[in-house]
Formats: sequence, structure tokens, C-alpha cells
Amino acid sequence: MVFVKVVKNKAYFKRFQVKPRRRREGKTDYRARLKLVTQDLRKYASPRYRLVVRFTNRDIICQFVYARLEGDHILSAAYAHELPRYGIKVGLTNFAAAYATGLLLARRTLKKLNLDEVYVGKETVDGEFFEVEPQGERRPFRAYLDVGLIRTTTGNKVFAAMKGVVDGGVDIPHNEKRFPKYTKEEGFNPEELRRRIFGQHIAEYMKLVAEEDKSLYEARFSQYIKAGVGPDDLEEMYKQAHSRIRADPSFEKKPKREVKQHRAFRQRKLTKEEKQENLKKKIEKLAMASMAAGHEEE
Amino acid sequence: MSIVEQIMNVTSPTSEKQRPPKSRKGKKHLESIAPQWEEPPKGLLVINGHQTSQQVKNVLADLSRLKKPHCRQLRKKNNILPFETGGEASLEFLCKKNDCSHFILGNHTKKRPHNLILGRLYDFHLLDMFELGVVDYKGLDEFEMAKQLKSQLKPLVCFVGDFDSDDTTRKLKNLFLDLFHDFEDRQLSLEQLDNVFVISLYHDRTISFQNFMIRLKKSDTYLPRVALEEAGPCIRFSLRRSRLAADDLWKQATKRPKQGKSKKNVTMQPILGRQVGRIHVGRQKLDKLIIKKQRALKSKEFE
Repeated sequence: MVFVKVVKNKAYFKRFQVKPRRRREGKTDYRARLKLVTQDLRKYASPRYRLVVRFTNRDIICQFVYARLEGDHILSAAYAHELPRYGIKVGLTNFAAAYATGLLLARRTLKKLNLDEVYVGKETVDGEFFEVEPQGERRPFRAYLDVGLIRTTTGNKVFAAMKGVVDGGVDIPHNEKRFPKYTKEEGFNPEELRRRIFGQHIAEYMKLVAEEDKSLYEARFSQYIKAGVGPDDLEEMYKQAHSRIRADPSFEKKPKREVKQHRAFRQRKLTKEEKQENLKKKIEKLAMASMAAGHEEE
Repeated sequence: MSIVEQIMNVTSPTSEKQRPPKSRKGKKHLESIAPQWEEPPKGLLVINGHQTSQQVKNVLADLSRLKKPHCRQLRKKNNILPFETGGEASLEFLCKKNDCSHFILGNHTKKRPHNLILGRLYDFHLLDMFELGVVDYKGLDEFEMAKQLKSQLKPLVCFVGDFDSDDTTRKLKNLFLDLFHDFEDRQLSLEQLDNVFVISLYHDRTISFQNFMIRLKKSDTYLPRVALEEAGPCIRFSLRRSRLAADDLWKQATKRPKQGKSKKNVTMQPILGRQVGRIHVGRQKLDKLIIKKQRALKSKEFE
């Protein structure tokens, strides 16, 4: 037997200090967070706003968040599940939906801050690189992209949401290096970005699948078929959604669902009488069975 | 053992023998740990003692939130009694390991209920410490205004009462000031100054700690009316034991190195991060210029 030095000995465990809760859960990158939250106190009195973009399986969450001593506060939020109101009925987590959600957040926030008329952003979407410049007395609302724990690959959907926010008139320091199809040799490709903002990469794939295998198309795009959205309708759908978002970005509160009666998941305990009654029935049943068996033997 | 560790073992500002560094890396490290004209902000190590009451835990949590981000909170119990002989050894070890020169230790015993020990280190050796008993406490969460506090505080610190009458309270005042001030932001936007810590000493030698938000309200004149609104926590301490620094150690600890003169005509290039110096050359005397003797230059007269 080889001698193995015990590294994690008693002294190790005695001195071991656990990491913060969100680190243990693998939810927060504290190094990144500290850098995003700390503001240069020499220059600014306002907090540092972060554009937080998170993806779940069926939804996209975009928020403007700022830190206070007691915890983070949310200035405003927009979700992809609000998009059906603007005509985007299907594909709520794709690249185009991320852009639309970002645009919704930007317009909603600027309206809240009374900046929406000064900073209209980019109304005709062409995918070109765009930066918000100061106009009039008030400077543009500035936020910094917080991507969380995702891998910032080229063409990631996070940057679609960011592009939406920028086109909506919010100042976010960024460059074009992570937009889709960016390469060192060929550089930034605005047509490709525009194509994806209007869901044309999805339309192309839809056409491809429909041509090759009809049943596969029906399985993969069942929700699209249900909603009556074909590959040629996508561009118009997103175009209209963008203009409808600009027309009315307000948040519509859903009426609270009234809960009449809570469903009991745990089984109720039986009373003594009920138990005895059940037992009686059981005995009777057994007796009947044995009687029947006795008759058969005769 | 790395170079840094080797140096750490042999040199420290107080050790008598200080070997000159052999490598450039070692020299840089010594410079970084040497006393500076403007020290970087000191960290606060928050330690739970062998037994802590809920009240003490809450006080420690609140104080560490006020000190964020220069604060390290240890989660486990540490059986440290710094006032006992040899009790400070593990404290010094923990402070050094976490790179903190201030510490606050909370414990709770029958003899000294709700006890806090606040102290500081010089060169990672105990300088002075004070024992404070929590008499009365109202937490940060109980104040409505606490929600308005910014994530990093840059407080003004205001002392009320006769702190300077005796040595203990004078040093305690010094410690509180040391704890909450830093040189990091000498320049500050004025709007950033929106909270003040008021530390007051009463006649019965109890000390209260309060935190206020400064609100500038409208007034008839062009100057705003300043109003203070309490934002928590509000703590009342009683003074218990204390250990002050010996005079010579105090003198050594408070000694400030010479302020480096600003160099003339030397600038840093912001993009390249390089030093660039500008030099001035005096007027050249062309008649006394020594040049290589050449035949063609010689005048014919002298031949």
C-alpha cells in the first residue's frame, strides 16, 4: 500500500471557511459583480446601473438593476412573455425575441425617466453599429451589460438583447466583436445581424426542414403552425412588433388570479370511526371470499 | 517557498535586521508593504467568538455592511480571548491571513454579556483594543431610511462629547476614525456625502453610535436646509476593559514616512502606461564645438 498524505486533515476542516451563499449555489460571479457595482465616487452621485439579461427555458428576463446597501433594487424590467401582446406569438427565447425584449425594456425605462422623446434610438433597424449620443440638456441613460455566468461566445443571444436596448436609446458601452458571424478577418457583418433580428435565420431553417421532411417540420414547428406563422411571415411579424413596442411600451399588469380553494396534497388522516368502518368492510369482504372458495371446493 | 514568502519571513518594518532585497520582485514587494504617505483602506475582520448571542451577531452583521467592501466576515466560531495572556496570537494569525488590520470580535458570556472587542494591529501585531458591551441596539432593518443607503458608504464621522479628557476615550475616538475613513477617495462628488456617523460619549461613560442620512431640503434662502434622518443602526455601548499601545510602539505606528516629491517634467502616458520625461538642453556653443579635425576644413592661412 502506497503512503498517501492526508491533505484534508482535521486542521484543514477546522479552519475551513465556507464561501458566500450565492457562490456556493454557483449563481454569482463575485469578482465580476464587484467590478460592475462599484461606482467611481469622485464623479458620480447616482448608482451604477446594470443591464441584467438572463435566459430561462421559456422566458427572457431583462432588467435595469442598481445596488444599495441592503441589496439590489430593480429600476425596471421586461420579459419575453410580454411579447405576445405585441404580436410575437411564438419563439419567445430566440435571437429575435431577445432583441425585442431589450427594445421593450429600453423604451419602457426611458418613458419612466421622461427621456423617451429626446432619445428615440434607432427607428429603422438595419443592424449597423449604433451609439447613443448626448442630445439636449440631459445626458443619455447609461447602463453596463451584466451577462452573469454565461459564456460570451460570438453571436450569443445576450448581445441581441443588448443591441435591442442600444437601439432603444440607452447608452451601453460596447463594440461589435461579439455580434453574429464576426470574424477577425472579415470583421463585423451588419446584414447578418439584421437578418437575425428579424428571425430570418429561423425562416431559412423552417424552409429547409419543410422541404426535406414534412413530418419533422410539423414536429419541430408545431407551435408556429398552431399560431399560423409561416417562414415568410416572420419578418413582417417582428417589424410590426418593434413599431408596436415603440408606440406603447407600458407594462400591463395581469389581474391577480383568485384562489378559491387550496388543493390539499397531503392525505387527510382518518378518524377512529372511519378506520373501524373500513376494517369491518375488509373483514366482510374476506369472509365472503372464503365462503365463495368453500362453495367451490364442495 | 516562493520569493515573496521568503521575504515575508525575514523582513518586516519592525524587525531589526532587514536584509536588502536581492531581486526586483522582492524590492517591489517590500515597497508595497512598507508604510506609505497615504495608506490604502484597511480591512475589517469580523470574528464570532466561542459563544455569540443573536444581538451580537446582528451588530456584527450591521457593522460589516457599513464597512463593505473592505470587510471580511468569518463564518465559524473562533475561541479567541484576546485579553488573556497569549490570546492575541491566533487573532494576529487570522488578521494576517485575511489581510485585515482592524478586527471586531463578538462574544457573549455570563460575566460580560453581549461583548464586542474592537481593535487594530500594527505590522500584524496587536496595537490596541477596546471591549464594548452592547447595552441597547436597534438594527439596520428596523429603519425605513436604511433602504436609501448607497452600496458603498463614504461617511462623515462626527464625535460628540468629551472624548479628549482621558487617554482611553481619546484612543477609542482615534480608532473609530481610523475604522471609517480612508484616503482612497480624497476627491468626492459632493452628492456622495449623504450620510454621517455620530459617535457620542455620555457622562456615564456609555457611547452611542448612530447613522444619519443628510437631506438637503428647500429653504427660503439659496442655501438648502440641512436635515438629518436616522438610518440605523443605533447602538449603545458601555466601555469595559481596554488595552492601549505602549508609548514607543504608538509613536512608531503613527510615524508617517516622508511624502514623495512630485517629479518635475515627468508624465505618465495614459495609453501605453509609460513614463515620459521632458528634458531641456541648454544653448549649444557652436564656436567651442569639438569636431573631428579634417584637412578640408583647415583654413589655408595657417599653413
